[in-house]
Amino acid sequence: MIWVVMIIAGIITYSTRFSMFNKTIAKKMPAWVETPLHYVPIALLTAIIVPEVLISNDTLNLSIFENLRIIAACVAVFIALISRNVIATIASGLICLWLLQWLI
Amino acid sequence: MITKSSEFLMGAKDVMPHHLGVFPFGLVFGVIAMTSGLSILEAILMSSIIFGGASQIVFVQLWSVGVPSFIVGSSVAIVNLRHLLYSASLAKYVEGLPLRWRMLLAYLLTDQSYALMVQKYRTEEFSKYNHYYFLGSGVTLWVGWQIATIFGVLGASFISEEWSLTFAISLTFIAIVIPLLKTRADLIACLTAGILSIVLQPLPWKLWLIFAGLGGITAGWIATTIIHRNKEL
Repeated sequence: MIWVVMIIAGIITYSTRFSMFNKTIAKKMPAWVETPLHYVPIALLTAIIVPEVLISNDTLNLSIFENLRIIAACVAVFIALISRNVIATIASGLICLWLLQWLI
Repeated sequence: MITKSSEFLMGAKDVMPHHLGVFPFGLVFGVIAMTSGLSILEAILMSSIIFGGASQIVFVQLWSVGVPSFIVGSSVAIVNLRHLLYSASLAKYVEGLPLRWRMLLAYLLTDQSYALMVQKYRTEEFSKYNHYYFLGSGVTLWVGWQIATIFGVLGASFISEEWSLTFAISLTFIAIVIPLLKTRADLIACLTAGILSIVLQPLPWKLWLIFAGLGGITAGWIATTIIHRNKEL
């Protein structure tokens, strides 16, 4: 049973990825869609990041002393702004979080 | 000189830093799959059949608590809607390629390869071997994801929750999003999506994700229209 559901999920995933690579579908796309599409990665990735940082065990935790990911994420954002470097961003966030967990 | 292999290698090289975030995410998937009661084979093959971190985690989490199959399928579809938008955004760059290329590149389309392709298309001159760059980054990421899954599955009992490995994926996405924020409208899209992703949490089936995404897109779109209109006046 799990195999059937997994393969269906695989087909769904692949269809969303291939969708607009199909020429007949792509040709029907009007020019105005360019503007909204520009915001796709910004909006969707932010919507994945924010709950991951602010919510733990299904509850919103905004205390910077209890939820250490908030400070770690802010450090990572700052490093990303000044360095624009993927490794520096990820490493600074992880190291900051581990340090805080060890300190507190 | 730009050649097929130089583009492939450049793609492979440019995606390397993303492994720092993707690898821990793969480990986490492997661990969750094991604790959710999947077999080793099911967990490992899922990373090839679906090849999408967020989709796979949603799948095993819902499956393990006995959610009906059609809801598991619909949730995966919702989490995946962003690929539809990625696909639309890259469509004009791949439209000249033969079908087999487009089918292969679609399979390798992820958040990371999308971010790399957008950066390349927006900043560099168009090269006729751009698809080899896409292929190089995609294949490298795919291999890394499979290895991470296998390590996660086999090392499930050694990997501790205290390592906060799930946080690594947020950090990867921070590294992708921050350089994309260039205008006020970009910032408005980002803030709107972030606020909505929290406010809409009570929605069932992780629907908050797609609505926060669509909200952010709409906000950015409206902001662009207003900014342009003010310039014209």
